[in-house]
Amino acid sequence: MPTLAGTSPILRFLGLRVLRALAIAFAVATIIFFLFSLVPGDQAAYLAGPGSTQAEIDKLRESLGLNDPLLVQYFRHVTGLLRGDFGTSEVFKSDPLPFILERIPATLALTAAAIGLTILIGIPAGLISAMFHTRVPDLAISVSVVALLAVPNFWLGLLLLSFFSVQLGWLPSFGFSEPAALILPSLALAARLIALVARMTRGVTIDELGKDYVRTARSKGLSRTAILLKHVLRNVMIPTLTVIGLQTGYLLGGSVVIERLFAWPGIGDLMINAIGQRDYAVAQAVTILFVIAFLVINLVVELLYVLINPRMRAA
Amino acid sequence: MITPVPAVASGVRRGAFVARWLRQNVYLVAGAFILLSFLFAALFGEQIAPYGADRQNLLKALEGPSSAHWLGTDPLGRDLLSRVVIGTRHTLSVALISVGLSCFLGVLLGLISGFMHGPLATVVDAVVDVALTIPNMILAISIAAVMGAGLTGLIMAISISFTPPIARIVRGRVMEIREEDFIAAARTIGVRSWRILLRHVLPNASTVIVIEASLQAGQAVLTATALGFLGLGVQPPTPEWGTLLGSGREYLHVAPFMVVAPGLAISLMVLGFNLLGDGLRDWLDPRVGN
Repeated sequence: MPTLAGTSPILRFLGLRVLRALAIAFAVATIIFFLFSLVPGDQAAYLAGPGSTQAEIDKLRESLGLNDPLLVQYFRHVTGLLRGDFGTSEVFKSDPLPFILERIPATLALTAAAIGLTILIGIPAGLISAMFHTRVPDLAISVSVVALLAVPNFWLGLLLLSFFSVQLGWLPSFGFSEPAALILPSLALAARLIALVARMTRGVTIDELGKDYVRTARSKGLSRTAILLKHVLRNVMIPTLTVIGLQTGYLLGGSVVIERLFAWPGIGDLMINAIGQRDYAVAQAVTILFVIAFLVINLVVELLYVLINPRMRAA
Repeated sequence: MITPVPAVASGVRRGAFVARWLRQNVYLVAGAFILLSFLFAALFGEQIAPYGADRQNLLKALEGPSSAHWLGTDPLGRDLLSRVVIGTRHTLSVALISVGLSCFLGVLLGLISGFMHGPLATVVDAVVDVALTIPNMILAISIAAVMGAGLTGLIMAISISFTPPIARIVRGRVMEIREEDFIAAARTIGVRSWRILLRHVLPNASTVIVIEASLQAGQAVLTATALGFLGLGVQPPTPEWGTLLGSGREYLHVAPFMVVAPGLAISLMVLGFNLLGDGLRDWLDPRVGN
């Protein structure tokens, strides 16, 4: 008979984490609801548009449920969320969920590409830096890291856009029409992560190269490169995961700005549009979605920890 | 045997000591120099800038860099260098005020949840935990949206969204200090809790707070200018750097030089705060130096 005590520790760990994530998502929905209830001005009058009569405004306010006490509105909001009902978008005149869902793939592609670039560029840069410790390549990479951590992602995006799209005409400047369009926005978004991962990889590699097992491997006749790729790289994956886990918030928040800059058809762009049109049902829904994404990514990172590092399985 | 420390007697000795300190704290010195330059520009922008921030000259609209206008002009013929120099005060004051506020709030919440026991500490801790799962930028955008575009909304957005991480860091440090012997000693002789907090815990946590504040100030500059870029921050015609980049984006095809100066200024200011933070950490907290 499978009982809770009998299930595998990983599954039980995962189950507890999922429950915790659900509780947090619920709490965030609460915070966001009360935050958006602070919006000044008459929501119904704005949505009804200029030139509408008082009777029309009153009717709209009644149909939106804005006359009910705040706690009643909150209860309706939360029970709605549990049923997958994100309220009514006054701009789309319907349930906003399909419009949000249709924009998720673009945001997923952007953030996944940014993580991919981080791994592809950040880890090798850190390894090279460590191999040439205190020599010219190390210096060049270390200076780039400090510079990249100070540069705002939207300015980097603007420079890339100006150079590669406007001046050279090599890459598209907006939208998500072809895979090549992914390059500039994901690079602008990834720059900060690349710098952090490169710095972390450099530190860990220098540490690892001084350890006994490296000396043993050297004495067996393995080349430095082979040691780096076979042994050290494995130990670098954990801190890289940590950086990505810690920077999930940056990744999601940064995607909003980058999507705006590149007119990228993702949910961040939708959020800023919704705020501009005072469509707060959509803005709230997207905010909650971002928090869910944050929780999911962190769950995946924790799971990967356990999978990569057998030592953590016991814990 | 204890070696007696030689007294710093001669001026040469003192000079050597200062030189060594400067060499050991290059980051700190560089960061402080950059930020002091910005502070100067923020205070005396009108005096340094070659033109007024709002002086228009439509005959010279969208001109590239020249000897008269080093960084070129915008669509209304305003001098871009002057606008960036005079705009320094907006970004710098937003960063300093909001980090000041978020440190005040964060320290308060961190002290409560790290030092006290009971329902209040639990509630504060839970709220901070939940707030930390809302990506910083998303929270700032939501708050700015609710407050409406403008200076007050911008400062509220940044200070509230930066509070949870500071509260978390202060809490960790306070929980360490709480276990120290001198706290137990103070309790034994009957010192009241709030006095222990203010006289013993807070001073010992101050290093962590100062370092964190400096690093957060750099992030605050990035968030403030990003909100300005999105149109949720300080509104035109105020020459705020993020807003300048936002308007520069629309002219990228005809006047790419418009986006150079504001972006460079933002990067330099962030670099200044980052260097200051790293330098302070190396100087004040040798345990965690790289």
